[in-house]
Amino acid sequence: MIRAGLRLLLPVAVAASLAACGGAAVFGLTSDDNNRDTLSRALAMRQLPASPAPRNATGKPMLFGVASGKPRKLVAYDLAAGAVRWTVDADVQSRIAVGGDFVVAREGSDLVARAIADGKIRWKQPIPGTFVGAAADAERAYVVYQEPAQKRPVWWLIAYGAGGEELWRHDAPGPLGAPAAQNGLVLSPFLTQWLSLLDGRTGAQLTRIRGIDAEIAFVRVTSDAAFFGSTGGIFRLDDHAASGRRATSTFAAATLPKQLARATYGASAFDPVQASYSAADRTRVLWRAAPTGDGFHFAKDEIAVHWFRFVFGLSPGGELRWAYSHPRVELVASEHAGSVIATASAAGEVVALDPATGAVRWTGKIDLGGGQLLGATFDADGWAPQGDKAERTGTVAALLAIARDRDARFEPIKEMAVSALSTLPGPDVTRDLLSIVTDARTPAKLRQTVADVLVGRKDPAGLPVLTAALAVRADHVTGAAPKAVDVVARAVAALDGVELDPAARKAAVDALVGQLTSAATDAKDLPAVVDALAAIGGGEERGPLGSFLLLHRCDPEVAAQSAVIKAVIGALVLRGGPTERELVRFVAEDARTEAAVATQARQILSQTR
Amino acid sequence: MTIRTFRRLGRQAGLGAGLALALISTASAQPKPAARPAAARPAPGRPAAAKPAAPPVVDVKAAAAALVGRDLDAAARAAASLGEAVDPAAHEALLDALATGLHPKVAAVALAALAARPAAGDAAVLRLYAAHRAAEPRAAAVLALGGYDDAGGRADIVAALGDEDAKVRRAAGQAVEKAKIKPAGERLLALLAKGDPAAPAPIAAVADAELARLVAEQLGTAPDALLAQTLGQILKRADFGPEPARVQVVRALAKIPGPEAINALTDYLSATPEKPPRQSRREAEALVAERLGGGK
Repeated sequence: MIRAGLRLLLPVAVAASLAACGGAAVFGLTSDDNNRDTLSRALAMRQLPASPAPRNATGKPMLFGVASGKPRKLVAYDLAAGAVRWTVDADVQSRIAVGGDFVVAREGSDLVARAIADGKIRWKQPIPGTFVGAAADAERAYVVYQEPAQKRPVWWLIAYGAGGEELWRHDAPGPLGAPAAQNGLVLSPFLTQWLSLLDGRTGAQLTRIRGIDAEIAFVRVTSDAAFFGSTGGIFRLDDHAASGRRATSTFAAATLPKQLARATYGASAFDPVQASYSAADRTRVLWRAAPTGDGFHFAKDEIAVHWFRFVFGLSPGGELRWAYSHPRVELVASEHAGSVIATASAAGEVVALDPATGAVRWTGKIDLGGGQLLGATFDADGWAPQGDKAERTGTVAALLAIARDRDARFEPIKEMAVSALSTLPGPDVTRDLLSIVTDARTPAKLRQTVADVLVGRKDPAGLPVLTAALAVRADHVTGAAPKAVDVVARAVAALDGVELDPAARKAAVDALVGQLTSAATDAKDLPAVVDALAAIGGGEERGPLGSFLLLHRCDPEVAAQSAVIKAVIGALVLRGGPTERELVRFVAEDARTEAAVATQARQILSQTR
Repeated sequence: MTIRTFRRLGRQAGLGAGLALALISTASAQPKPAARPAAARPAPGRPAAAKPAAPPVVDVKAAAAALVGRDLDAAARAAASLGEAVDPAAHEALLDALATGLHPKVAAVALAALAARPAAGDAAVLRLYAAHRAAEPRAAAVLALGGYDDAGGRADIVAALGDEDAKVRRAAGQAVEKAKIKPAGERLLALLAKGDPAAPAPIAAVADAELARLVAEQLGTAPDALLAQTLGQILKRADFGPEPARVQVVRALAKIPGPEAINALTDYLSATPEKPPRQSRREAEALVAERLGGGK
C-alpha cells in the first residue's frame, strides 16, 4: 500500500518540479483535467465499427511478426488464409503498429512505414532520440521519443501523414509513454498520471484525464473500445473516466492466482524494454470487455493469462477453468481477439484458442526461414477461424504437461497446476499424479505438493490405480520396487469412510497386506500402510496386523520403530474388537515383549479404556 | 484367560490374513510334510550301517519354559533341543512359541527345529516367518519350507529368490534344491545372470535338458565361473539326461574360458565310469586334454 502510494506521489513530485520550470503548451500541469463534457465530445469523434474487425484496410485478420536473423525479417501473415503474405528484410527494433494500409515500426534508428500490401517502404523518418513507442490509425503514424538530454530532457510526440510528412509535434517536459491511436484520436499517457486525448489530425489536445487514485501505465485499444490502467486494474475510456477515480469510473480488476500475479493487462507505456517485444509479452492477462454499457464486465465473464508456454482460462475471480500447454516452445505473442485467443510461438506456430474452453480452434505455421519469432502484433479483432478445429487437448493433459515441465522457472505454476488437478476426479488423474510423485526427476517441492493433492483427492475412482501401485513387490530378480508407498498408502487411508466398490476395496486390502508383510517395505512407510489398512480394511486388517504385532513384538529393531508399533497397536485397539484388545493386553504383559512395544501397548490400552 | 488361551489366540492371530481361514478350511486336508527319506538299506554284500543313535531325552516342559524365557541363549538352546525331541509336546511347544513371537535369533533356531520333524500346520507358521522383517528368521523359515509339500510355501520359496537379503536368497536356493521346485528355473536363471552365488546349486538340482540349454545360453551374460559351476553341477547329476543333453552341456563348458570350466569337466570325468562309453565323457576327455595340453 505504501509502495503504491509512493508510485502515485512520484509523478506529482516530478510534475511539481516541471511546473516550476514553466511546462509546455499541451503536456503541462495546467489543463482542464477530468472534464466529462470535453471527454464525451472527444470520444464521439471516433467512428467505431459496429462489430469488432481488423484495423488494417484489407479487413483481413493479420499477424505482423519479427523474425530473428541477420538481418531480421518482418513477416505479414494472413490468419484467414493461413499464409505468409510477404516477408522483407527489416531491422525491426520495436513493436509493430498497424495502420490502415501500412504498418510502422522502428527500424534501426528510423521510424519506417511499410505498405501492408507488399511490405515495401512507404517512408522513413529519423528518430533523433530514445524511442518510446509508436502508434497508427488509418491515415497517420505517431511516435514518441526522448530527446537526448542537454539541459533537461524533452519528450516529443510527432504525427506523420500518409506520405511521411510531419503533421504536428508536441514536446513534453516529463516522460511521455508510448501512444495509442484510435480512429483519429491519439491517446498519450503522460507522467503515469495523465492521459491526454489529442486530435490526430491537428494535434490539438481535446481533453485530459488525470488518474487520482490509480496510475496510467498502459493504454489498450481494440477496434471497438479503448482502455487504460495499470497493474491495479483497468479503466474503460468512457464518460465515467472523467472522474479519475476507480469507484466512479468503469473500472475492474481481475483477481489472479498468486502464481500468475505478475501478469499485466497490457504492455507498459513507460518501460523502455517494452517498447519492443520482450519477455513481458509472455506474462499477459488476455481479456475483452464490453465497449459500452453500465459497469465493467469482462466478456463472457472470462479472462485468460498467457504465461510463457501456457495459457490459463480463468474466471475474473481467479478460478481456473481450463489450461493450454504449448508443446516445446514458448508463446511469444498473444491477443484476445474476441471470439478467439490468438497466440504465436517462437517457432512460428499460430494457435487460436476458444476463450471459453481452451480448445484449439485453429492452428497455422509461419515460415520463418529458419529464424525464430521474436514477437508479433495481432490485428485480428473479430477473427473467427474457418473450419473450427475445436480440438480439445484437455485441461487435464495440459495441467499434467505443466506439472511435469522441466523448466525450473515454472515451479510455482506447476504447483498451481497440481492444485487444479486435485479438483478433477477420475482414475486417469490419479494415475498421472502418481506418475509425477514416482518420477525421480520431479523436484522435491513439487513432489510434496502433488503428494498432498493425491492424498487430498479422496476419489474412490482412483483406488484401483493406487492399488496397482501398492501391488508392486520389491524383487531382487526383476528389479521391481514399489514407489512412493507412503504417499499411496496415505491416499488410500484418506478414503476412510468413503463408499468403495467391494472388489476394489478387497484388492486394495490385499495389496496393503502385501506391503505390510514385505520385509523390503521401508519402515518409515509402514505407519501409512497400517493406517490405510485400518481405514479401509473393514475388519480384514485385524488378522494381518495381529500377526505382525506377535511376530515382531520381540524384535528390537522393529520395537525401535515406535511409529510402526504405535500404528499397529492403535489400529488393533481402536478398530478391533475384544479379541484384539486381549491380544494387545497379552503383548503388554508378556515378558518376552520388547520394553518399547510393551510400553506403547500399555499406553494405548490405558487411553482407550 | 490363561497363557495357553493366549497362545491359541496368538496362533489364531498369527495365522490371520486368510491363513486362519485356510487352517479352518484345511482342517481335514492339512499341508503334508515332505516325505522323509526311508532309512537306507544296506546294499547286498555290504555290512549293515551302524544303528542310528537314540534321540536324546529332552525335558520338554523345562525346554518349553526356557524357550519363552528372557535368556536368549538359553531359549535358543531350548529350541534346538525341542527339535531333537520325538515327543509331540516338544513340537507343540515350538509351534506355540513361534506363533506368539520370539526374538529373531531364537526364532531362527526354533524354525529349523520345527522343520526337523515336519508336522501338519507347521507351514502356516513358517510362511508367516518367511515375511519377517529380520533376515535371520526369514531365511530359516524359507529354508524350512523346502521340507514341506505346501503349494503356498513353495510359492514363497520362489518369491524369496528375489529377496533383497543374500542370506534369504541363499536359503531359498537351498529350499528349491531340497524340494526340487522346477517352476523356480526362470528366476534362478535371472539370478545366475546377475552373478548370484545362490543360483548354481538349485539350478543344477532342477535342471532338465531345456533348462540346461538356457543355462548354456547365459555365456557372456553370467559370470564364467558361476556358469561353469552350474553346468558342472548339472553334469554331476546321475539322473540328468538324456546323453545328447549331457553332450550339449559338455560343449557349453568347452566354450567357457578359465579354470572353472576345466575343473567342472575334470570332476565329470572323475565321477563318470569309462564304461559304458559315453560321448559326453569322450568329448569332455578330449577337451580337458586339449586345454591342459595346450591344444596338442
